[in-house]
Amino acid sequence: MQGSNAGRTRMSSTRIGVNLASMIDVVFLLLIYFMVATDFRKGEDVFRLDLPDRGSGIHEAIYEQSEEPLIILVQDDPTAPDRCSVSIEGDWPPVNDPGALAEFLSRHRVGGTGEAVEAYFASDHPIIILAGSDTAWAHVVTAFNAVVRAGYDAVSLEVQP
Amino acid sequence: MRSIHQRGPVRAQASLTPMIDVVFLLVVFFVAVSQLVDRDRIDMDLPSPSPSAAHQPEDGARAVVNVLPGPEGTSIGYQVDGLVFAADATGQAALVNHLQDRLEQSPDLFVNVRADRGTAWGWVAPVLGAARGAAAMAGQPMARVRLIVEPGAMQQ
Repeated sequence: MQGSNAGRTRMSSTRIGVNLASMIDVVFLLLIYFMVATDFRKGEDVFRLDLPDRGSGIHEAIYEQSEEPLIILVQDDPTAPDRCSVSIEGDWPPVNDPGALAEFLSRHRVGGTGEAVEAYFASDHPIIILAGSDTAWAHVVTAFNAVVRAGYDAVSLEVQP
Repeated sequence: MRSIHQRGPVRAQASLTPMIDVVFLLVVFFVAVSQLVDRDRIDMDLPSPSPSAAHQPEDGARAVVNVLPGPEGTSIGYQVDGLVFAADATGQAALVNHLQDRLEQSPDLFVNVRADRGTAWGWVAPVLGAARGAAAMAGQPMARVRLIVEPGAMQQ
């Protein structure tokens, strides 16, 4: 009896433990796996711009154009460096900022926000953004964005001579 | 004295298990770092028009041209595929040749243009001209260019 009691005591003192080291290993491996799988970089967006070849027949290209392109002039605002001023070449009402430009172009686009009688341009009407060589790239992109926002898709960028 | 004799000679043994653990961790670390570093993305302040009409880029072959910003809105060169081309006529001609090679390898190539928001348009325009020239020399009717911007607030 004494011997069996001693054996029972020895068994009951056995402690069940969880080995933490292996769990930590697995947790770290999972952490590293998800770090690898995650893209930490901020994504970038794009504007699509197709530039047709104009090397050989620039005069023919001009005659082939069925519509006169709308020319938008962009320049840095001398009073505020982070803003730009835009204007439309020709006999059009003045637009001062890219927001007003987008609103104007959208109003006069076929199927745009304006009334049918004032819809002068189709969405593939050629639009040329003309900016001086010292104009900040951000302002050129802002004007480009305004035109794309208004629903036009035949936009090109040129340097003002 | 007696206890020393009982232990016997000490034998040094190297345990391979922790070494394998460390080696694998190093492998995973370098794989992670190589994923995070992208040589096409030079750190610069991209334009961020808002509300933006830009969209996510389509999949496909691409050549990313970084217009390296210089002082006062200038550029010190153009970086493509780890190569740097000078921002002059010679560099632009070399850029045209490089893009032409890329276009001949993959005709559906997109030319992504990354430029700092403060860089003057006169330094970015040669890249568009180079893309156009390369497409013409590769026998393509038009250059497929994408202007890279920071994602801004989307238009409603």
